Amino acid sequence: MKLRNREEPLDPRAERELEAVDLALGGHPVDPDLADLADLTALLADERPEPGPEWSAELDESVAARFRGDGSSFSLRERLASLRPMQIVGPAGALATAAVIAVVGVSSLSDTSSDESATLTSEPSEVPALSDESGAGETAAPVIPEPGDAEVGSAADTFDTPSGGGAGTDYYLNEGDTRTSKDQIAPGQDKRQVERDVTMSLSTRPENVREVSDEAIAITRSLDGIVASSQVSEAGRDATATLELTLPSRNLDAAIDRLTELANVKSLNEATLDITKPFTTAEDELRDAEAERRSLLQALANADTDVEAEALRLQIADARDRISQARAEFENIARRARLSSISLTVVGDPNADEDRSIGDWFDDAVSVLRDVAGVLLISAAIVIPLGILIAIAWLVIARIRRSRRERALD
Amino acid sequence: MEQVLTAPREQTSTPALAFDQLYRANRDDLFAYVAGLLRDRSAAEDVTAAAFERAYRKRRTFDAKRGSGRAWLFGIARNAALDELRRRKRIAELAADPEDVEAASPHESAEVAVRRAALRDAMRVLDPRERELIALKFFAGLDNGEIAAVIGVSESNAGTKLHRTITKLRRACDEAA
Repeated sequence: MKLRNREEPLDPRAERELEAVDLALGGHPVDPDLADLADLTALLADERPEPGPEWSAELDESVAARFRGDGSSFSLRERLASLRPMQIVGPAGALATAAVIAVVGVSSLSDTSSDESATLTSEPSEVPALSDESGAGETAAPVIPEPGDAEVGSAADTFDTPSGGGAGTDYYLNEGDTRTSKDQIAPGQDKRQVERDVTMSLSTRPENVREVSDEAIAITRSLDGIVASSQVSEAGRDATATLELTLPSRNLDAAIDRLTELANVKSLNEATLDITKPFTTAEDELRDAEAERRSLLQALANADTDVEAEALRLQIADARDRISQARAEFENIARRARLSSISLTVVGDPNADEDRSIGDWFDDAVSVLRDVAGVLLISAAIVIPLGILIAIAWLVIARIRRSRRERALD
Repeated sequence: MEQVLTAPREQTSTPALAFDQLYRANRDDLFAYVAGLLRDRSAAEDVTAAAFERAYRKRRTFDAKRGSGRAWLFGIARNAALDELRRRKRIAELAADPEDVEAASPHESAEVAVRRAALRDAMRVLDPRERELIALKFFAGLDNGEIAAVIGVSESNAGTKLHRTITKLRRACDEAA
C-alpha cells in the first residue's frame, strides 16, 4: 500500500511524445520524427472495443427508466454507500453524542438523587421513631446503621458491644484496631471526639412545607440517619414543620448542604463541643474495670478457701456492675461523638419565594451551567476519542479495500 | 454540486439532465475502457452497466473539487472492474472477437494487417496495469489529468507511467514486426 506517490518530473522527451500522442488522437499532424508514434496511436485507437448496438439500446432504456427507479435492486450496503460521508457521519455522530450526553446526564443525576427519589413519597408517619434498642436500658438511643464506615475513627467503632450482653459477658477494647483518618491535620487528631449539633430554620411557601419536610426526611434516610421526631402542622395559610434528625456525624456536612438547598435558609446554628476528655476518661474507666475483673477472676482461680472464694465472687459482682456502668457511660459519650442531631424547623411563609434575590437566581444559573458543562465535558471525553478511533478504523478499512482492489491488477 | 456532474464542457442545473449528459458522453468510452481492462466483452457489458447504475445512485456524493465528473465516473467503473477481476481471479482475454483478432479487413492493406497483428502481440506483453493505462488513454480518450485522478496518482506520475508503457509497447511492436 503506497502512502505517497513518488513524484517524477516528466522529462522533455516524454512530454513531447505524449503531446504527439494527444495530437494524433485528435487527428492532428505530428512531427515527422514521431510518425511511428502517430501510427501506433492510430492502430491502438482502431483497437478500441465498441459496444454492441443491442447492449447500448438496453442500457439506454435502463438509464431512461432510472434503473427501475425504486432502487429495489440495491442492498442496504449500496444504499449506505450512495450517501455522502457527511450524510452518515453527521447524523451518526450527533446521535452518538446525544446518546452519550443522555447516559452521562442520567447517570450523574441518578448518582445524586437516587436515594432521594426512592423515599420522597414516604409519609412522616412511616419514619421509625426513636426507640430504645440498645438493650442497656439506660439510654433511649437508636441504633444507627453505619454501612461502610471505614473513614471515621470514632472510639465506638473499636468497641465491640455484643447485643444482649448482660452480667457475665466480657466486654473488651480492641486496642490494636486503631484507625487513622486520612484527613488528619495534627497529631492525635483522630483521637479527638467532637459533638456537633445543628439548629436550622427554613422558610418556604405554606403549601410547600409538607413537601420540604418530606424531602428533608428523605435526605436524612439517604444519609443513614433517622428522624427522631417530626411534626407538621397546617392551619389555613399557616404551616410549620419541626423535625429532629439524627445522623452519623460523618454525614452531617452533606446533610446541611442538601437541606439548605430545599428552601430559603432563615437561620443556621451549629454547636461544636469537644468531648475528647470525657470520652477518654470513660474509656479508661471501662478498661480499668475490665482489668480489675480479670484480676479478680485470676485470684478466684487461685483461691484456697471457700471464704476467700466467696469474698472474691462478691468483688467480681461489684466489678461487673462497674463494667456495666462504665460501658454505658462510654457508649453514651461515643454515641454523642458518632451521631449528630439537626433540629430543623420549616416555616410557611407566603412571601418566601419573593425573598430570592438576583444573586440567588444567578447562583442557580451558574449551578445549572456548571452541571451542563460537566456533562458536556464528560461526553466530549468519550465522544472525541471514540470518533478518532472510528475515523482511524474507517481510513484503515478504506486503505485495505483499495489495496485489495489494486492487487487484482498484480 | 449537481451542476458540475456533467460531461466535459457541459453545464446544467438539472440533476437528471446532468446524469443523462454524463451517460451519453461517456457510455462508449467507459465500455471501451472496461473491456480493455477485463478483456471480456460480456463481463465488460455487465460491469459498465453496473458502474452507471452505481454512479446514478451515488450521484449526490460527487464532489467537483475532487475532479471532473468524467474522472469520477471512470473511478467508479474502475472499482467495479477491479471487483470483477478479484471475483473471477483471472484476467480475461481481450474483448475483440476471435475472427476480428485474426482476420484482416478486406479493405485493409497487407502492411496494416501485419502491423495490427504485431500490435496485438505486443499488447500481450503488457501487464494489467499497463493495459489499463492504454485503455484509459487510447480507448477511452482520457487526458493525463483524468487518468491520474482515476488511478489515484499525480498527473506527472501518470504521464511518466503512460510514457513508459507506450515506449514498452513501441519496442514490443518493433520486435514483433
